[in-house]
Amino acid sequence: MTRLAIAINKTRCIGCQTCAFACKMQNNVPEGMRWNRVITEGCDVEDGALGTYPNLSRSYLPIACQHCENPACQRVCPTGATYKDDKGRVEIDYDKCIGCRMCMAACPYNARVFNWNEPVRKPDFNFGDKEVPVRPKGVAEKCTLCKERTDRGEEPMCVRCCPTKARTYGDLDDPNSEISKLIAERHAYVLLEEQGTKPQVHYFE
Amino acid sequence: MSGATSPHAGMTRRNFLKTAGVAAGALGLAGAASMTTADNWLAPAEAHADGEERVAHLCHQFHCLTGCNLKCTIRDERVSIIEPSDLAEESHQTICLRGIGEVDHIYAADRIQTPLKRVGERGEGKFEAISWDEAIQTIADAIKSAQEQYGEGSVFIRKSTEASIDFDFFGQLMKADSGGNWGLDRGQPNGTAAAFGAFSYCPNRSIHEFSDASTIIELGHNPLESGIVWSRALMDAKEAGVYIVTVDPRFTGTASKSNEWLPVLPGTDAALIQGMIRAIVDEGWYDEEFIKSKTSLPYLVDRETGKTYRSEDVMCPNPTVVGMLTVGAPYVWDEAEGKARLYNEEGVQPALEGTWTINGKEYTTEWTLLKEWISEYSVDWAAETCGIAKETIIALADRYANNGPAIIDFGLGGPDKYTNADVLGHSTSILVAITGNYGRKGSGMGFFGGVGVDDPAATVNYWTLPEGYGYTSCGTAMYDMPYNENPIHVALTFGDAFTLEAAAANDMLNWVKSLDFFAIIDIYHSSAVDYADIVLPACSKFESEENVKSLRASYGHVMLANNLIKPLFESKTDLQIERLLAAQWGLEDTLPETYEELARFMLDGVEELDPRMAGITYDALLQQGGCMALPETGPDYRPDGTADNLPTPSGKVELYYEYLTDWGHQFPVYTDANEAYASNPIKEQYPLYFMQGKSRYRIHAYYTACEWFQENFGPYVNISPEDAEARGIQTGDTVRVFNDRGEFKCGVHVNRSLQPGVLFMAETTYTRYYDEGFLQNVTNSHREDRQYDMYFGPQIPYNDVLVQIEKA
Repeated sequence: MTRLAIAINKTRCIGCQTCAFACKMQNNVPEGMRWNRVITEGCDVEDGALGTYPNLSRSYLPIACQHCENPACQRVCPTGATYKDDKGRVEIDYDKCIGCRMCMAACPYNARVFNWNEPVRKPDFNFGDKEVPVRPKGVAEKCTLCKERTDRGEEPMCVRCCPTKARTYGDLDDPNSEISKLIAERHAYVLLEEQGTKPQVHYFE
Repeated sequence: MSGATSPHAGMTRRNFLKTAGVAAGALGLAGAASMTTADNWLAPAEAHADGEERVAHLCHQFHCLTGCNLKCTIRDERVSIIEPSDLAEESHQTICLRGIGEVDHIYAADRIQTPLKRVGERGEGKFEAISWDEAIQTIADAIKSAQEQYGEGSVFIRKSTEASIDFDFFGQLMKADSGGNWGLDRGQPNGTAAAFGAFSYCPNRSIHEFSDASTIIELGHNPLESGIVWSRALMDAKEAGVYIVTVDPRFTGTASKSNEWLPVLPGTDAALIQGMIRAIVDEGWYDEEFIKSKTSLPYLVDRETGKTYRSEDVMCPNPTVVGMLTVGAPYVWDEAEGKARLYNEEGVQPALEGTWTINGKEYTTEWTLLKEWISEYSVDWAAETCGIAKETIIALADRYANNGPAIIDFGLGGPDKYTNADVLGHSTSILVAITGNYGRKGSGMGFFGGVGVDDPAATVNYWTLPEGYGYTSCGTAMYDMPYNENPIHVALTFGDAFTLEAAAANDMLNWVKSLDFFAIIDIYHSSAVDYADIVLPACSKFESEENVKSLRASYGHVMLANNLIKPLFESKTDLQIERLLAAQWGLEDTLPETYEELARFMLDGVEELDPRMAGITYDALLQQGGCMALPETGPDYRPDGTADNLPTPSGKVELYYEYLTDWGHQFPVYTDANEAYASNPIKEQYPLYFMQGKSRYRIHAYYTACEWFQENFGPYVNISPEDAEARGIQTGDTVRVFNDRGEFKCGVHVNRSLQPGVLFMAETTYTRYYDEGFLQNVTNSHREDRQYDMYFGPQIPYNDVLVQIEKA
């Protein structure tokens, strides 16, 4: 089996948003949407802080589809548009998506976005990877773990572009992969473990 | 590519331009915004799976002090993907959001599309499209008329760092005034120059030695947002367990990653450093061996005159840093022979302390004078002045002096932008030198990340103009032109110089309005464009009339931009714009005809000058895609910078600034900032410090136009919850920030990262994105007289500002 995933070193994450824009570019993501976001945890403003001056703390959390082993989105999808593929990625068959947005309500990570209108792109052409399907109005979309790149044996664009090398991509089912070793050695954890979704995306400090 | 399936096959650039021309004609008179809109400039896009693709490479920004090589996938003649280059050495395959954001930024609505002529009032932003011929003719006529009427010195031409690519010919051909002293980013270097050498703010050891340090002090530096790619070295150090301390009034990203954050009061960093020096001297934590062998502190000084005791016959190996004067070799008191001997005589054992009478004059050592100087600054005083507890200052001094090697990485923003930055730089030099944290592995001082020796440098030829051409100066810096009488009547800038390279924008822009003529060449509709009579559209780095463009030596590589897209709209490259202008004087043949000619020239014969350049030829570069590493480039490159043979008169760290005797600043006398200090009476009216600094979404104003970034970021001021609550301000409100110099209105973020009493705003954003005005309307134009005598002259104190804020 193969379970492709990303592990994110939060100590090295500087909140620079490069991964968020790398994703937007690679995947031709329309205006007003992001498949990948970097949030300042617990804050209503970017680069905010927790605590009271001068005892402050801040952490950045890059968040996208967690490519769960037990995806809440897949369970509620009435058409089978959302599926778990043979490489352990959660994917969407856009032709089957009827726009019911059950998946969006079910995803505890708020990882999905929806094309409410005809997607608007700035610049107004299809940028990004030419293999990436162009999504029409009325479908949901999200991080595909750069399906087109990872199918070609390349790492996801967010991993490729991360300036501080905070991201590691690999196969969780290969115990010798760098990602598997990091998860074991650095006591990596998953988000909202209690939801039982078993994310494949891991985080560590 | 199949023409039938491409929705854009029929939409050539020429067609588009025709369409735009018709639209502009129909409107007759177009506002700037509509003039430059790129909305729907292409037909709606559809599937793109069969688009024809090619790959271009270029060196991206050098203004963030990185210079990443970018790999651009161009599909249907549009830049569709930008990613790290696989041609660069592996550890240099980097990018950040600013590189990626270019996919939108290249095509942004703020692009200037055609030459424009002003039709409204200056500042109003009303233009009509004109032809290149008319625009160039108008500029040439204005320059010629001024030259005839007032002389060559009446023409001001400056390349700002925003749009300029790499050469600077036309201004020199016109023998124009380029605005003299820059006034930017050299506040602390004014204080370090005489001690370690003029360019000692550029470290002589690699940033990758951060991991070899025990302690790193980030002094007002936030590399996590400024030089994003360089922060990898800091994160490596963090993971290696290096103790990181950030000194900054604001809880920056860098502060959040540090072991310790010291929120100094704005503009008081020098007090913190002086407190550390006092603790080190009191506790005996200094490095006596380093002081004796590597610094000027044993040199003898005449007590009465304050002058160094120097030989009249034997000269120092180097001239003075400031003034380039030849000076005699200094004497020390040799303990071995019990007499004064030259500092560099064989076997001399310099005394560090004492007083001696020689030829009837009383001499002592610099070290004795330093101790007397620092005795006037107690740690309690430092604590009170900078707002950091005494125990914390002493603990930091202990850590810095006794748990080395240690690095001080100072930014050239933050504390650099107060009028007392020279005092900070000089104090830092003393701290570094008395602890011996210089010239050995894991130690050092300066602005780390790009300006130092992080990567090996290439050797290239520089194109020169025929003899007789060059810039002139009327003696008044650009930033002082609104205040000092000057001969300038006509101005031409490449990019926005006037709103970026001066404070107190109302003064500067009023002066610009008073000029006979002002033309600007820019890619985007930047803040200064609205004040121009003629606007010329430059193209971005990604565009060129020919296959190649800039050749750059950057980031340990030689990079030749190639395989680019053609200039969008009616824009042209800098080179072709310069040639068009030069042709008005018949001087175009003094310039390269093409970028290819320039690139070939730059590499021609360099192998003979520098064997490391072997094989890096124009043809080899092109064949390999346009990026070749220098032989030493790699993750283990570590130049061995030392504390020996420094470019100071004696070759040692010279801490006693004899040249500032008239100012009493032989050692750095603490001075309050000009405006931003605790006891300033105007705080009754304007109680808040106003700081500006870097954002990840900008390099200065550049990337304002990027619509992707606009989704995340815009002009807003950050305020602490305490200050916000006192004024009924909430995130999302529009606020008015003001003082006697001016005001602006924009959004606001209530942010706990702010020290109460301090506002912060990222510089900067094109003015039209503000609700009213822009941040430089409130900033300080004061010049510190003392700094006219310093290497880099007075600096613009952008952060030395007090304001009030209210809900708009």
